[in-house]
Amino acid sequence: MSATPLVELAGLRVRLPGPRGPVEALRGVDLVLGPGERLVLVGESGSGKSTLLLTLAGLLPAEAELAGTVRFPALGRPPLRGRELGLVLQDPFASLHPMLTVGEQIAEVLVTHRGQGWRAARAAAIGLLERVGITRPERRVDDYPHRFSGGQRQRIAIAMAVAAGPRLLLADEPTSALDTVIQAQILELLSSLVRERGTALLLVTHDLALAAHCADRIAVLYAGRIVEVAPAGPLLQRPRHPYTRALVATARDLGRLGGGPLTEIPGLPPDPTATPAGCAFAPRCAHALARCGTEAPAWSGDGRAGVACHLVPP
Amino acid sequence: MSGDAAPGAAPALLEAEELTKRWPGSETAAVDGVSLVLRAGERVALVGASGSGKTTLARLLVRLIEPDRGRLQLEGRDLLALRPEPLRRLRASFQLVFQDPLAALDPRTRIGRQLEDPLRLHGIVPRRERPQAVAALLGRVGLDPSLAARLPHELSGGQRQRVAVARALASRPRLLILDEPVAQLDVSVRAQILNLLERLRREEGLAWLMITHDLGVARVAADRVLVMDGGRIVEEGPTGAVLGAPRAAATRALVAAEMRLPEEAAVGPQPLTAPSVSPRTM
Amino acid sequence: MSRALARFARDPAPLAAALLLLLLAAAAALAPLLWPVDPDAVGGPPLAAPLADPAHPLGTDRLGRDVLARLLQGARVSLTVALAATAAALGMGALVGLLAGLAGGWTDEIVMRVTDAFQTVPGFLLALALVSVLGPTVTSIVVAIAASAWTGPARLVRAEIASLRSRDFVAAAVVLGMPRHEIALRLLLPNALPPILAYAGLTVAAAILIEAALSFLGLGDPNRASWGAMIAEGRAVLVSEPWLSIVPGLALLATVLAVNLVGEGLNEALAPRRARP
Repeated sequence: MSATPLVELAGLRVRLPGPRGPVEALRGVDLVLGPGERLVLVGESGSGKSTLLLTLAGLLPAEAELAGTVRFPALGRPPLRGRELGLVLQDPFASLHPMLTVGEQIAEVLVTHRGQGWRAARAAAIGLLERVGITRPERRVDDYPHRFSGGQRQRIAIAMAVAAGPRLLLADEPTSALDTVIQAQILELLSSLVRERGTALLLVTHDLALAAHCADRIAVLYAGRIVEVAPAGPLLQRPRHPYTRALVATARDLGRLGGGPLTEIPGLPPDPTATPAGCAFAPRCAHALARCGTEAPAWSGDGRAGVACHLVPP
Repeated sequence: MSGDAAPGAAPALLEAEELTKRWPGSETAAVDGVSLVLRAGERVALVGASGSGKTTLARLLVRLIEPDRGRLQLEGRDLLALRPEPLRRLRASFQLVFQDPLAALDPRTRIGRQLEDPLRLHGIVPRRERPQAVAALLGRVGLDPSLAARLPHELSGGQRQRVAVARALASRPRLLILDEPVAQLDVSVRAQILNLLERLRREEGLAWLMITHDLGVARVAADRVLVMDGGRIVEEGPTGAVLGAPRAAATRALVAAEMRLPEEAAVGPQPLTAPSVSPRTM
Repeated sequence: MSRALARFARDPAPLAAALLLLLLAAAAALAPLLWPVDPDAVGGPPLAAPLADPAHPLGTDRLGRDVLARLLQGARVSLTVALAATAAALGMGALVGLLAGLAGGWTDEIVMRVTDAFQTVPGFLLALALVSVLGPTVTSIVVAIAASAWTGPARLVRAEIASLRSRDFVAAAVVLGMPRHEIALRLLLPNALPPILAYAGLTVAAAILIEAALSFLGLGDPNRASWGAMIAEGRAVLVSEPWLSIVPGLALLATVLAVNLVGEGLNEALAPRRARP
């Protein structure tokens, strides 16, 4: 992990226009992603996880206000989408062109970004379809997207995203639109593909258990800030931030039979248009001290591991 | 097979026999000869992959759609033979909670009036006492009575599902069918709603059929589980036995695909300076 | 609804058009007070040019009747006929659409085939035939226009009702034990109306044009001035006195354009509400 980082975020703030006034989607994010690393961002809706992903993809709306730094040290410049950066979205129905065959869509990536001829690209597309688990790819390559199931479409979208051999793959809830049985297969595919190609993966999800299955490191986002980052094992075994602890406890409760009430986090996620004075989690935290409501906790650690909580000794 | 796992003493609330529903234009039946018994006070889960027929079955059980054939009885009364008016009145005693609370609430009617509806329709509370009854309902699901003046889109997802639960419980049903009640909610809100449901179930002595694709939800919310695949119930039994040692292929696939946290290490979480996170029921 | 209005007010073009229509409606309604000149009286020399005589700012026609007074009376006829015909068409269409959408099955099939039959006859021809039979009165013109214009709203309401019926909040109402008539009137109809309101703009514009065309052909109410009839009368002196046709023509153009702009603005303002969570 001592190689030049692929992504380096420092003090990243993003403000987006919203129907009820501007939204502070990200409020100071420090994060480092190494080459070939699998980082999973866990957060609920409104935590800023999708904004973070869009920032890295260079897809924020033009009205977004950015502060802080977004650097790609290993590349020296922002990655080219399609070539150095692949994107897998939640909805596999939306990410494929309905009027082009899947072979054409994959081949186009190779022709555009790898300079291959169409014939070679088509052969490569068949290989990729086989790799992502489409059976009899030489016969399916000329089919249109509507001939495939949701899970197959997500496999094809993944094949397109990795076709040009990107350094970084961004995935936004790639399995939440799919059936549970398919979810695990798709996750396994993503995870093994990035492993064998040395691609870095940044996956966004709301599901901690899912994160446990494909992460080297996990970052927990709450109300636009990272509250805890750590390698997956330690984070799940010894969560430090009260929010992470509650998430882990609930996920564990769901693994047990019957019994008493689940660990629950009282209250509601904060209003994204209002910037809290202290720690954003304080109103829902069972251990909040007086200073938690007034003073935002400092980040103890670096972009690789750390926690932001007054209760956790540095 | 439906009688085997049921606790013997409790009387049957809802009995379905050979329910079958095929949608026009479809080659296979969405629900294919399903028989089941739900007993008073029982917690049952219905699990299955998407497309296995869970939602169609739920809608058949509350008679939102008509089966092609089969029998359906609520406390011995034939639901399929009932004329509209008696059926309408009987609806007070079995309710359905929908997956998406925003879709299940009328977008242009205030929350208070939507909560009054069941009280008015079933003549439960006289008109003058309804505002207090609505406030009490909101209080029971942990919401501030001032929310009665809001429209559904002005509430958060968790608040909406609380309203939907309050509305379903207003007519004092004995049976609740819940169609993925937490699937659309934020993770930190799911546990709140599941705890709330269980608390209310105990207080009211309800039976429920919890439809879910999430085995974790089935584990905490059901003592008995039915597994559905291809429109049929392929396995049935106590939750721990079925999920611990699945026999049917569909159950095995569900169990294998479930994502769970890795086993807890012996060390456990380090204590915070304050007492550790404890289960809360508010 | 108030938010939709706020969205409507944000766009200058429909807002200006709405103001123009309000002015026109006010002028038409208050014509006897604002311009107390008898539109049928011969009050001056024939064919006086506009902007020449302050007693006749828009000139006089071939019989020496005041053009401004006739224009205002024409506006009354035009707007009354258009609004009445639209109200009748929407009312009829909403009722038919609601019944067809609720009943489904055979009733729906029959009602919609009848609607199809009406729709295959061009609206103007139907109106022409009806007015010829019923005689040229304001009422028969309203009936004639409504008879050809109710099919669009009927199809729209039926489609809305059909899609609303499969929505969860309607299913929830059934489960709660809400009677059918209450579901129809309290849940289905109010939620089906916004697209109909946007459609109303198109119907008003079409009704104004059909009324003008009927009176142009001499099938208007002969006892009242009408824009279409005024254009037709001006035809005889089109080369020497073109303003006699141009003045009512411009009034017609501006009104129809304004109605269309307002309708489009309403459509825009009402549509996003449905996409938003």
